[in-house]
Amino acid sequence: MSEKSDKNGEGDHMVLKMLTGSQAVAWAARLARAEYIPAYPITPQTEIIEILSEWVRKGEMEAIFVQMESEHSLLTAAGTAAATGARVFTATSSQGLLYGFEMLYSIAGWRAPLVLVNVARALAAPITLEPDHNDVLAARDSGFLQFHAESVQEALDFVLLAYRVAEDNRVLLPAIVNIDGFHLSFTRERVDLPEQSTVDEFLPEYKPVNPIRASEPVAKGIPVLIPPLYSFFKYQMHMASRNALNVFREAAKDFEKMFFRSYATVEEYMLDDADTVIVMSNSFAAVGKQAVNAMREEGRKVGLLRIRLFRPFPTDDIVKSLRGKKCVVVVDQNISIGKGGITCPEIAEALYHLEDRPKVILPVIAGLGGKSISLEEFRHAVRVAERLASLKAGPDGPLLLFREDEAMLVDSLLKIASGG
Amino acid sequence: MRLSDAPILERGHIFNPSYVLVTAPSLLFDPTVKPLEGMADGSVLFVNSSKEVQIVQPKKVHTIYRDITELALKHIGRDILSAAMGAVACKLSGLISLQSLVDSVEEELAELGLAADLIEKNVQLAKECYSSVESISLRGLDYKPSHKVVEVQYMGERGIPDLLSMGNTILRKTGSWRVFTPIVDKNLCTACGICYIYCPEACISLDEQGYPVINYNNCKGCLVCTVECPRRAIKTERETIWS
Repeated sequence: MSEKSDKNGEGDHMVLKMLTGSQAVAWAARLARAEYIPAYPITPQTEIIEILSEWVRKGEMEAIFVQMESEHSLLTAAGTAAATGARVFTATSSQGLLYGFEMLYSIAGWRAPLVLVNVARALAAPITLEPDHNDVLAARDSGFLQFHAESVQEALDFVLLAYRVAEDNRVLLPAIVNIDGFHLSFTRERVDLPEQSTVDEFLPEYKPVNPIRASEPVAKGIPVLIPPLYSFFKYQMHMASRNALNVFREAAKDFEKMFFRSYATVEEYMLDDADTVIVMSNSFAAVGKQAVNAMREEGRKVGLLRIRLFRPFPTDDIVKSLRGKKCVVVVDQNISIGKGGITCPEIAEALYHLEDRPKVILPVIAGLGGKSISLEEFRHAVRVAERLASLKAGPDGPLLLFREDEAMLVDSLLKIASGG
Repeated sequence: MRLSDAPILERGHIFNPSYVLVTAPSLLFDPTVKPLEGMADGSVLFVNSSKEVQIVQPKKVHTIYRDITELALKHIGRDILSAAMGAVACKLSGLISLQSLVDSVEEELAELGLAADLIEKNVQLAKECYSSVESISLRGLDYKPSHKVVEVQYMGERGIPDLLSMGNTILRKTGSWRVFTPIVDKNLCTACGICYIYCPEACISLDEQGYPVINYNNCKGCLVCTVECPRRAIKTERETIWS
């Protein structure tokens, strides 16, 4: 299966296409020559596996596509196949990711690289189909690398980069590429579809370490009942993940040479002279940039920092971007119940020991369950942070961005639900 | 669909649309849809309707009515409107040429695995819809929604997602979804009650003589009843305006 064919060849140039996020990541799996695709459908991920199964059925993609009976089986099959040396692609979302959760830690512990696309969808209960990041961030401690995409182009590119980094011998960890449901998965955007031969050059054949072979037995993820051994192996995973920072930077350099798009671990937007910086990730960051533009027109020195690589956490780059700024507004599109946003404490810890750390780090919760974030909500968060800075005070908890029109809607629906 | 020479930073909800296309006039009055919200003076409203509809609209909106469903029935034989409405949007905006429209209808429907003749029917429908309206260019639309941030209060028991008022489906007037209305012909009906059993929405009840009575507030127009009626006593009529 490792023999390269020209079936996927698209000619000599990149092709510009209008693709949905689902189509783009399916194309990335195809261009990466994924050989094994275990799948189980869940909204809003289903379009991805529908496309792949169709390509496999028509013989346009040389891969084995298997519909499993659950996400737990899906992840088990994906991890074990990767341990045999197959290049594995799969995708899930939300409840599906949680259903297979146990296996995330196992696969990472086997050091079996594969790429899993998570189509972000907020977690039940109550049930919704719209995105936030409690699903993907629940997996943040598992050992999976995490790439968070803002655009459909990034969704495609990150799958290719994820394979390259995950399979590198200095890393050998699986990776999640996160794309927001609906906002990326079902939205068509202009995409440079890379040429197959360039992808082949960027992404050499996967050379597994100690692969499971029928004739050469290997036991993966063995029991270690001696505590120091467990501690040792876990910290090896941590160091491998930290290595992924530089491996990513190297890969991004090659990527830029071949595909003319450059990716750092973080994106700085109007940061140079900014006093206040909004920190965001994923597709809603676009709306944050729009708010930055609007506030710039009003004469406010506001910028935005977007985290592309969430695991490993790019501490150095975040420090470089945020040191010396007056206020940092961390917009978490997730909520750790009983604490607040997940990203904010990580940002605060990265900055704590600096002499020139920001005066205020404001934790903000916004966009849960796909709730829109309007310009006025961004303005409000920035105003709160700047007021705290002038008062030399700190926040007394996370700030939830919620609007009057939304409160009125909630009120009217609660009345119906209670029969009042 | 997001396409521009400059980066598009708007995502998700569109607060201030320049063009709004409404596939059925009943949606104009649906409290959960509110298609007119956020429209500015000078923006364009297209309504798929055979008649003009009385709309209370504070803004000076350029409104166009066309019966696209009729065209879909003519070309495809069914009320499938995606190619039709896409064509109208392409033409109204003045940004997409007829050839690009035809190319993309062919490409996208082929991706979905549609048969060649059905794709051709959609192309013909798209072409007729494209020529049925004129382009309306827009400039300088100014709409600033007011979005006041408020604090969310702890609501105790009311803040738990429990649904206490059962049977509230009747509040959602799904009758507005109908394209075709089932009408019982009492001269043919034998009060056998088959339609009452088959209706998936429990919208058919029986009167004292056992004849079916359709609840048009909630009947979605799926027409299962017309198919199941052994006497073919339930006729269909196209719904032109729902009230």
